Amino acid sequence: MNAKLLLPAILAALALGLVYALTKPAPPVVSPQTTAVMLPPVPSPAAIENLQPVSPPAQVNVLYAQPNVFDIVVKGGRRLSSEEAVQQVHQGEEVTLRITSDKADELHLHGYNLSMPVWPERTAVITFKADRTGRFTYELHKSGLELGALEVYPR
Amino acid sequence: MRKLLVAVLTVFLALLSGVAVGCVLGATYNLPIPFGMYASGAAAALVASFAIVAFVLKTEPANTARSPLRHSAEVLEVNLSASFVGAAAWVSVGCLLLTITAGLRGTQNILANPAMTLFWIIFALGMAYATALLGDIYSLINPWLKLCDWIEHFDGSAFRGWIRYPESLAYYPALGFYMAFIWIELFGEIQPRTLSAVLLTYTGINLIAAWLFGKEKWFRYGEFFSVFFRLIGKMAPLEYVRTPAPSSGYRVRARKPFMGLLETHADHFSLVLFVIFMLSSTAFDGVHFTQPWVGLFWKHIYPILSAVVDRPYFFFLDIYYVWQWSMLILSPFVYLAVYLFLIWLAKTAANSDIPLRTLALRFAFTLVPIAFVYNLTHYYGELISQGIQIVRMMSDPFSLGWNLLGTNGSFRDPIILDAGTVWHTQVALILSGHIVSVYLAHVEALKVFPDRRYAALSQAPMLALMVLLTTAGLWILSLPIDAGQMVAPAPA
Repeated sequence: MNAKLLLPAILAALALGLVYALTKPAPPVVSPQTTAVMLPPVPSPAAIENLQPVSPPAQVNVLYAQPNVFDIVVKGGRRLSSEEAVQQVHQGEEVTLRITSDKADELHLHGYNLSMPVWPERTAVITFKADRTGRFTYELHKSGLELGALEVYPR
Repeated sequence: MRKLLVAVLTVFLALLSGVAVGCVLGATYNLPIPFGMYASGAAAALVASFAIVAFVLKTEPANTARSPLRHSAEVLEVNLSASFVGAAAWVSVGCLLLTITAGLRGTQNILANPAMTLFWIIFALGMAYATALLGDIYSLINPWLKLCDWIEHFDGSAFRGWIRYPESLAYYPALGFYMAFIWIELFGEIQPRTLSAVLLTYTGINLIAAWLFGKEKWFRYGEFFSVFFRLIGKMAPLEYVRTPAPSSGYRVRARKPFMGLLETHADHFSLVLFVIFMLSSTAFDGVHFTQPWVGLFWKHIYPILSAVVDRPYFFFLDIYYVWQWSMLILSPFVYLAVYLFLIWLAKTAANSDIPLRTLALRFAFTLVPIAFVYNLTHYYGELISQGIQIVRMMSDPFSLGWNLLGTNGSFRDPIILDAGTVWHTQVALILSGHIVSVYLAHVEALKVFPDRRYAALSQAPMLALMVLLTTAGLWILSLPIDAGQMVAPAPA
């Protein structure tokens, strides 16, 4: 390569490397402990009108210690949550979605083609192995309400 | 002094690329590419660019017989008869009618109605990728042109045109339809029945415009898909040349891949805008649902607006959508500004008297490969995962419980590529498009600027442009994706 081109090329590559180092985003945080922290606080029965969760609070608290368990609460046509609606796991991990809705519907997880009926006053639970990598949205099928996405990263 | 200024500005812009500001059926399963891949891809683009520049500078000019840059075309001995092409065009018309009918009569589930998959996946994506390989086959089977030809059997003068097509109108109608197409794709929340209505309306527009201006002019300048596929077809190694009467068939012409982009140039500024919109619209499609972009409104703009305007939340949700639409419309002008600025830098570096507008027209087609791979990396997964579903859908196109092809149970589970495979493919495709565009730009520079020394200097800004576009494309692919619904905070 022509030396007159090589020097600017090296300088530009170094400069780009410096810029990347300065602007490098934080890697996705995926760990069982972090996942447990990401779980939303379970709403008290008083916060959700006309809704009686099947699991008593003590049982739910025990589940906080388990990884990849995600609680989804839907009320009034919207998802209630205090954390991001995107969950991140690694390929091969077990994932549990627990959904509570104030209206009858059907939870559908795209990509995995998993469906589960959802009834008011009941917590529906679906557990599966995340063996496919990618980004998979899940929604309430009848109302067309997109609830969030599950991102499964390769190991 | 001029050279120093150009050099400083070029390096500055190349550095900026590092901090550069990252589907209807909703069936895309792509994850953001890891930062390491984005960084290494961009660095590889930079290194490859310099290698190409070095190669082109050391090579014989294209106008010498021995130059590997010389492109030639040979006519193959493959003739496509008029009857074969006509039959294929009727199949295309049949697909259009099937799409419209299935949209009206079939299920309104967008993932189950074949109309949506036929149009958005098989036609918009599949035809584009086939065109890149096989040439502008759409010009042979354009269903709307075929309808005009059929009507002319009954009235030979139906589409000779009543008024002259205004030169100033040029490709602006096609650009307008392109913007409408993208808006419908991203924000229209279109249902099968609505799609049918849109296609019927588009059919009416084409027939009326062809009657008014003449079908030759309309399908050359005004019909969006004709312009779009013709541009992509210039990348292909095959071209179709009409043979004169009485055969009226087509002869297949072979050429080196991508050389079609150098054989002709943009003939109007509206076509430059069209190419720029190919880039900007796909970039916008990739960025508009990412967390940084969505956060730009809700974390920075919304707090200011809500402090000034006392209105309920849903008012600002409407403002948010208007903001998204506005950004889509403005996106080509941002890209255009960068493009024109770097063209001006190239002109300055080359000490050229050629008008800026002329240079912008000359180099516009060199951006097509990057625009194409932008599209390919974002959507090829959908073509695979959703496109294959058409095999099942065509067994029961109107949701009447049929099983015409015996494929009702086929491909129930979507085909999902492994994320690692997708990442590597995306980076490789973006890099490939970059390399091709850099090569084309440098060959064009050698043709435009007769002095090789000045031509070499002009390549620095063009190289910066390509690195900027490629890095932006990779950066967009690496951005985290928003959840897609505005989550209400849990009650205290």
